[in-house]
Amino acid sequence: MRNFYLIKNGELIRKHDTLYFIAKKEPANSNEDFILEDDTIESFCELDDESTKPEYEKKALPIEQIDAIFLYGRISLTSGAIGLLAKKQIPTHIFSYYGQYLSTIYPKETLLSGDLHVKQALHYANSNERLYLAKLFVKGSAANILTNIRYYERQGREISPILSSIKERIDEIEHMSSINELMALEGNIRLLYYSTFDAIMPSEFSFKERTRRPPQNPMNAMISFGNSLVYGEIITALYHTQLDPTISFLHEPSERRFSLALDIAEIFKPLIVDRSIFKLVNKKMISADDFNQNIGSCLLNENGRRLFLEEYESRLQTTIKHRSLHRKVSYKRLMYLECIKIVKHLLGLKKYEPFEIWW
Amino acid sequence: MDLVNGYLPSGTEIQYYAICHTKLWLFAHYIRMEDNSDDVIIGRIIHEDSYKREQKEIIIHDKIALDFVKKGDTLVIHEVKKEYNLVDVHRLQLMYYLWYFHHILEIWPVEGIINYPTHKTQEKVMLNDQDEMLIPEIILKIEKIVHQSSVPIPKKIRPCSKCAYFEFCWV
Repeated sequence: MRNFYLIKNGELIRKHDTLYFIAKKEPANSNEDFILEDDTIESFCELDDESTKPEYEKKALPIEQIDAIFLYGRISLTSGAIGLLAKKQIPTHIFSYYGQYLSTIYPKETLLSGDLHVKQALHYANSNERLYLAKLFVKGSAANILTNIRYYERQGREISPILSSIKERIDEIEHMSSINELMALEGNIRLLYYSTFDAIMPSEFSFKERTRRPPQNPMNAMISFGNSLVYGEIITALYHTQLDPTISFLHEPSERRFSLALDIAEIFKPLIVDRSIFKLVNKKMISADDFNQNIGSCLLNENGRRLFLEEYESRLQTTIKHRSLHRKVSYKRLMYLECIKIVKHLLGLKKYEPFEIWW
Repeated sequence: MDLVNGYLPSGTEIQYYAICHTKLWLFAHYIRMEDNSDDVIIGRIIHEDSYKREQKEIIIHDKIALDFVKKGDTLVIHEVKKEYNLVDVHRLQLMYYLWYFHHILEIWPVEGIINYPTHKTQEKVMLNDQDEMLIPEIILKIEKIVHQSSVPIPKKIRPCSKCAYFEFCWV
């Protein structure tokens, strides 16, 4: 099972039980997996009559192998296509031109358990239970951050003082007595972490500080792009469980629609997003040419997105031997397993322990 | 049936009782897994492809789903299975159906046959007096498990490796 990323304008239609993507033809030698964005048309796409013209092509998507679809281009969907996606239980995540998460076409819920729903809400409403889980999300996230920068310390980068500050902050997690304090500490750990980036990355990818909406430089552009991908990925994972994605523990449920996905995403960003960025930059797979730099904003361009998505998707498909399952498990599957661990915690079957990189 | 307080499990719950109580509890509480395993897909294809001339999938009271029935001198209910691996479970499931026909629907006599189309064999299932007593006991036990507030702790058994709950139990 894998994701499909559509980064070109076009139309998704259904014919019988097949989903087709209609878009302008690619020039020769284009990459089969990723469809490049053609960003010159501002209006919505109505290609039905034109799909027979020679400059358009119709591609069948392998619907049985699709886990989720990520839409970056301007794409029209027919009701038939939406119906088929619902039938095959494929969530479709929609992103803005700037790569920000906008919405999900969430298929009809088939996995519902009133019993678990009540238990999840009770864990949220009980401040001790809530804080207990919230601390574990921060701990997991911090542990994975630490693993990432320990690697670069071993490589001889001068980050030892920051590393010990992060360790001190991690010890403080246990003593936090409110969600607000915990959130502040989490933000603090992340700032310390980001302050190591300039020692890890070459100077043309200078990070300076975290800027969002819009990101100000290539590093920020990649972090924002990657974080929204992981957010979408966890929403997909949650869809395949009985958990309610709106009842969260670290983040406030009112914060965003699927705030539980924000909680869980924290744990996986260091493994999935940050490591993708380190690799793309340090191996010189991505360069300044892969970004659109404007005054006040910086975004991945077509080629940059393609490069990022290739690296990101291959990381999701990377497998490791799971320590308790004794089976090969992909990074993508680890995110689903994390949701399952929360279900077990809520049911009182096994105390939740956050995922920490063990290899 | 005053014996069973009106609680009647589904055919699936009878099977899960015989296989694993954790699975039974989770299933009854709607903690269900999407099973994409090849075995399940093959099983479904066997169901769809075998006995095409029969009237298939007869669901009674939302409790029991009969693969197909044949009416001759007596009514014969048929169950289609893929492998011999859980013969005792298959037999118990069909015994429950026979008991259900007898005591709930008050239809008797009824015979039961388990079909293994891939092995081209059949197994006949009867309900003797001893079994008649056994079924209400099992129903009570199932009710007790399903109504307990906590999940039964998983135990590692042979069917685990092919179970849709494998990751759930052992992660």
